[in-house]
Amino acid sequence: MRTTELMEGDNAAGKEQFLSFQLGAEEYGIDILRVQEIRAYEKATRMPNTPAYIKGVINLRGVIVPVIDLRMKFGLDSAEYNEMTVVVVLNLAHRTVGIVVDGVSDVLALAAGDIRPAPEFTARVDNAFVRGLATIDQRMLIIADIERLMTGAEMALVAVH
Amino acid sequence: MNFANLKISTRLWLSFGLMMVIMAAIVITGVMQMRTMNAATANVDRSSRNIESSLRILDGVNSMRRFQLSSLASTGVDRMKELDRVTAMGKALAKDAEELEKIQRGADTKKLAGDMFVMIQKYARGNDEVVKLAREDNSESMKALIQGEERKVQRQVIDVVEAFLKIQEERKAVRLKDAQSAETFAALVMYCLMAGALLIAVAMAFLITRSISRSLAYAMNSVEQVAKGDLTANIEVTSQDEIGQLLQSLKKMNASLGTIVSEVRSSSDSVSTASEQISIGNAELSARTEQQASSLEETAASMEELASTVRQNAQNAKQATEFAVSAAELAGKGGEVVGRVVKTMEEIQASSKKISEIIGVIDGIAFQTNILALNASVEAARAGEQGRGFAVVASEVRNLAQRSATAAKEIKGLISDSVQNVDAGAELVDEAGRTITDVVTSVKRVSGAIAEIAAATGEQSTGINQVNEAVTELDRVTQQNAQLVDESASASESAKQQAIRLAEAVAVFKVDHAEHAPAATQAALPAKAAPAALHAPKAKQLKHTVRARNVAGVRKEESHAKTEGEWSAF
Repeated sequence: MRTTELMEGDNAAGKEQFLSFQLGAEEYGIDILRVQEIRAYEKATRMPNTPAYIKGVINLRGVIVPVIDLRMKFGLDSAEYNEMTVVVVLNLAHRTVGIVVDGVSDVLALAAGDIRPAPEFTARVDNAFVRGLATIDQRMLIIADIERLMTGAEMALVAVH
Repeated sequence: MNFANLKISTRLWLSFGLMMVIMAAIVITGVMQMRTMNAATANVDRSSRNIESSLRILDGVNSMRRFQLSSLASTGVDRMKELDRVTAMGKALAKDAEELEKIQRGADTKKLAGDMFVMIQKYARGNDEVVKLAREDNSESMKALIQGEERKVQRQVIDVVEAFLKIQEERKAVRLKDAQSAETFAALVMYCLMAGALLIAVAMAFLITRSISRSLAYAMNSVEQVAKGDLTANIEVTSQDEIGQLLQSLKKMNASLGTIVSEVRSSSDSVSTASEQISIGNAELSARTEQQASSLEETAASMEELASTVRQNAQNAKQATEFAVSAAELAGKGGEVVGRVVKTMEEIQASSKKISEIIGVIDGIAFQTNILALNASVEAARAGEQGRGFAVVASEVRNLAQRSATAAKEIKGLISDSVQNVDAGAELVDEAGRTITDVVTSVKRVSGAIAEIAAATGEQSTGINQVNEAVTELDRVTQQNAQLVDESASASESAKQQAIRLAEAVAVFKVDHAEHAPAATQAALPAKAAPAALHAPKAKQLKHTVRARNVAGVRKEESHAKTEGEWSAF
């Protein structure tokens, strides 16, 4: 019973749609237009000489997509890969990247006003990409700019298609 | 030197010595007399020999004459033979006469013997003439000579010889008389000496015998007294000879006998006292032995009770074992049931697992559906306006997926509850199983304990047996003690009798210091003998009823062995 579930008329009111997913104990929201698809986790082929957070690559209908473990990237406690783990395939500036998240909750529509600016010390994440925080039902959503996140300097190792 | 103090041996030596001296004197005197007689006899003998010689000469001369005459009668060789005989005879006679002359001591006889010699020589010379004439065969001259001159000479010789003879015979008679008188004198002397010696001997014998026999009589008397038992005699030692020393020794013997008798008396007294003490001790000992016997009785009774207690223990142990066995059986059954329960639960768990799997599948489907729905939303969002309807559809699909997920979750919840219950049940079963195992263990332990009890009971019974044996032994020893007490009593009794007899034996002696009147000890002893005799029969009573009660009635229960066998691994 999500109050901000997609309803008719949402799109017209200037609300953005976000996909919310869990990562560790936090919930994040990202722009849904960046999302290509959501897949269940499948074992990635590890590439040699790659950092640990790059889990490897997967074959996505003929397309080789690198998969990144955001938990590791963010330095969170590593969690296990179970059936709830999903890979969110992102389409970022002509690059297709998959990120491993703990679970996907919802597609939400949020107005710009729902997004509150984030204080300095919210989570153990690089704050540059945090657009803000939104409160849904007592849940706090960290609205992240996924593109900024994924295209950080440290992402330079990601293969450029 | 007092004669009486000389030793007897000395006295005897002296007497015998004196006798020997007298004997020697007699013998010497005798010998001297014999010598005198011998001399006289020798004289007589000499005269006899002279006479014999002269007779022989006479005879010889006569033979010469005969031969001469026979030579006249015979002729030739025979004549010469006769004449040779004469010559020989003449020579022999001449030698004899010469010898005779030599041995003469008196002057007259010497002269006569010399004359004889001369005459014979003359005669012999005359015979030589005759021989010469015979050789010449001058028988006539021969005959004339022989019957003339020779005959004259022969006569002369004969005269001389006869004169000699006469003197000699006179001498001989005188000498004979001398010899006889000498013999008489000697006999007389000897008789006198003998008489004297006899007198002296008799005197000496008398003296010595008297002295010796008197002392001996005294000594005998004293010894006689001692033999009669009177040790109080006072022995006087008057002399220092052997008898005196004997009396001295006798005196000492007396004294030591007295001492010995006194000692014997006192020892016999001590023996009596000791015997009494032994009797008293015996009485005590027999009383104690009786006590011991009664204690043994009590011990035996206690042992009896103990044995019955042990028996009861054994029986109880047996019962307990039986109970344990049945408990074990029940536990076994319980275990069985528990096993079945476990099996059922396992089946339930298997079913639950399957259901879970299916639910998992459903959940997966829901999840996938959700993802698809999300993807659809994404596509719808991408599609913008055109995708709105699709977004609705997608959200509916998501709803469905969520409902399905919710339902699956519920079922999961139920399943997990069920599983929890099953787990709880399994736990309970486990517990039950553990409890049963515990029960089994306890029962095993109980059985073990019972076995130990049984074993201990067995040991107890063994111990009781041993104690019984010991009690029997004690009883035996007590009996032996009683016997010994008997023997000791009788031994002490006999000792006492011996002491009495000893006292009686020395009662004969009268001692100077009569410390122990024999009669008194005799009276005391029999009185004390009675109590000891009294106690002796009592001691015999101890050979009695402390028999070893056969308390070995506790059988070693086999209960302990049984229970252990029944328990297999549970």
